[in-house]
Amino acid sequence: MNNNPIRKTTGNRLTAMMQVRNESKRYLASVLHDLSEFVDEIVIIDDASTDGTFELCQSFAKVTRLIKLDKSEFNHEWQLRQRLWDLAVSTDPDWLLAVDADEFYEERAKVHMRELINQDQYDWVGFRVFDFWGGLTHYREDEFWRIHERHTRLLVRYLPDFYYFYPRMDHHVPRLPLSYAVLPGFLAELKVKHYGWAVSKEELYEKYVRYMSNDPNGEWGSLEQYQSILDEHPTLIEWKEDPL
Amino acid sequence: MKYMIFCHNGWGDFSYKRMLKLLPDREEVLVVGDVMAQDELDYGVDSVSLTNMLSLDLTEYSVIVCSPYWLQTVIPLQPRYMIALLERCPNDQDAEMWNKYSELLAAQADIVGTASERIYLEQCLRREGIFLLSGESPLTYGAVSYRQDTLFLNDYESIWFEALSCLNKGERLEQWVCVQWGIRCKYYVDLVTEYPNHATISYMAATYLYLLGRSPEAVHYLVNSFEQMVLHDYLDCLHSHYRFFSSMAAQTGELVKAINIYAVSVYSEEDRLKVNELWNWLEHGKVDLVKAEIFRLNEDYASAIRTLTPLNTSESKSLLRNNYVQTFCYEDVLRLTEESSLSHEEDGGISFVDNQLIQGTVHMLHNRHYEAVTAILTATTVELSALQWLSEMSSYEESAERMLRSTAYEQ
Repeated sequence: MNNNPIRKTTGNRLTAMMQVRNESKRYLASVLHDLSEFVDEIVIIDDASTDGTFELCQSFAKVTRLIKLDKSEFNHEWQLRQRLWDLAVSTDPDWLLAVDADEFYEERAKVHMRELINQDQYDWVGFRVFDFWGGLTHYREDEFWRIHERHTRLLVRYLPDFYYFYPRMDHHVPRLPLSYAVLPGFLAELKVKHYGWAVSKEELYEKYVRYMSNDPNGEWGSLEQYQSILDEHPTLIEWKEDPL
Repeated sequence: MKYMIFCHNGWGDFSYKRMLKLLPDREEVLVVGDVMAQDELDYGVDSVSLTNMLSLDLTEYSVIVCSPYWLQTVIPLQPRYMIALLERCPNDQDAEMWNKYSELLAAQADIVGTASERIYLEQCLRREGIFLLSGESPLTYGAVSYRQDTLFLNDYESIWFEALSCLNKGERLEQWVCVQWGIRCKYYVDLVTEYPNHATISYMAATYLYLLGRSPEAVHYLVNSFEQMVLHDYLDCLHSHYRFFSSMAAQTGELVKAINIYAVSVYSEEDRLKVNELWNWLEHGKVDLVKAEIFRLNEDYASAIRTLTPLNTSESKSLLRNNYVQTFCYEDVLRLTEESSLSHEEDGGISFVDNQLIQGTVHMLHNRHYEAVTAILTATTVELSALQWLSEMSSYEESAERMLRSTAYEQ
C-alpha cells in the first residue's frame, strides 16, 4: 500500500516529453543538450522522421524512452499527443515538461525549475512563450503574434489517479491534457524562447503553404494569422534575457 | 387511514391536491385551515380549525406537512406518521432558515416527497424514503379508483401511492425508492444518447446509476460529464465532478483508488490530515470506516450511515454521529452521545457546546421552550457566539407564529 503524499515537496523527478519529426538539421541537438542540464529524463516520440532524427535522439543519455512511428500521425494530432502522454507516464514521473524541438528555457527558468516542482500547492506551471522571428535576436509582437502575453501550461505534476484527456481534434491540440485546467496552477514570469519561426523567408513560405493546405478554411486556426506569416515588415522586438 | 394536511400558505397554495385523491386506505382527510366548499367536495377533504385540530388525537393521523414552520406544532402531538412535502424556499422567506428547518422536517419525517429534483437528489444522499413527485413520462403506470372516477397514474404518482401503502403497513420503502431511481436513470441514460455533449444530463445519469449501486457504469457517464465541463470552460468542477469518482471507487470496494482520487482534490492541511487518517485506517483493516468517510466527504451521508450503522466501535459511532449532525438527525446524535457517555467510551466527536445547541433545538421542536433556552444559555457560558442560536430560534418562532396566525385568520 503506497500511502506517500501524492504531492512531494522534495525529490521530485522531472521528465521532459517531446514529439519530433525531421528535426536533425535544426535545433534538436541543442534542445536535447539544454534539457539534459536540468531534467532527469527525456521521453520522445519520433513521428516517422526520415533524416536521422531518431539516431540523434538515441545519442543522448537522458533519452530513456524513444519510439519511432512507421507512419506519421501529424494529421491526427490528438492520437499523437495521447501516445506521447502514455509513453511519458510509463516512466512513473513526478512532473512532466512538454517541450517542442525548437524551444529553449531561459536561464532563470532553468535555475528556478526545482523550486517550481518541489512544492505541494499547485499542479501546473504556465510560462511565457516568445516567437523569435528572422533570427535569434528578436521576437515578433503584433496583432497575430502575441502568445507571450498570456501563459502557456507546459509543466505539470503527474497525479496517477487523476483523469486525463485531450480534446479529440486533428489539429491544434494542447500539448498537455486539458483536465489540468481544473487543478490549481502557477503563472510564472519565466520565459521560453521558441525558434520555430526564426527561419529564412523561403522556409517561412513553406510553413505558410503547409498551414494553408492543412487547414484551407481556417477551421483549426486563423486564416489571417496564416496570412501574416508572409508579412514583409513584422513588428520585431529585441530579446533581452532577464538577469538571474 | 386518517390524514391531516398542514399547508404552508393555506389550502390555496397547496400544490398536491390531486395527490390527495391517491392517498391509500383513506378514511378521513382533514386540512388545517380554510378550504373552499367546492374543493371539499371535489377532493373529499374537510377543513379543521387550528384550535379544533389541537383537540384531536394525532396519534391516529398521518400528517402531511408542507412547511418547516409546522414542526413545533406537529411534533409534540406525536402523529402516527409524518409525511413531509419539501418545497423550494418561497420568495418571501429567509432561505437559510427555511432550508435548515426543511432539513429538520425531512429528518423527522417517515417519508419525504418533493417536486424539485434538486431537493430530491440532495435528500437521497442524506436519508432513506425520499420520493420525487414530478416526472416527464406520458405513460400510465396504473389506476386508482376515487369515488366514481378512475384516476390514471403516471410513474411518480404510482410510486408514491405504493410507498404510502407500504408505510401504512409498516413495510420498508426501499423497493419503491429503487424503482423510482431506475425510472429516472433510464430517462437520463436515454437523454444522453440524444444529447451526448451535455454535461448536466451525463452527470444526472451518473448520479442515478451511482444511487442504484452501478458505479462501473456510472463512471462512464461521469467521465463524459467531466470532459464536457472542461471543454466548455466550466472549470470549477474538481469537487462537484472529479471527487465523485472517489465515492464510486468506494462503492465498488476499491479503497486505495478511492483515497488516491480523493487526495488529488485535497490542498489544505486539515484535508491532508484526513487523507493520512484514511490510510491509517486502511492499514489497520478498518475498511468500513474508510468507505464511510469517503462517502461522507463526498456528501453521500446516506451511504455513510448505512455503512456505519451495523458497526459497534467507538470510532464508528463517532463517525456515525458526525453524519447524523450533517443530516440534522439531532435525536440520533443525542442518543449516540448518551450511549457513549453511559459506556464511558472515549468521545472524540461532538463538543459540549454543539451538544447543548443540538439539545436546545430538539427541545424547541418539541415546544419545550424553557428547556431549549436553558440548553442554549448553558452553551453560551462556554462560547458566547452560541447566543446567535437564540436569535435564530426567535426568528424561527416568529415565522412559525406568522404562519399560524394566517392559518387561524383564514377561519
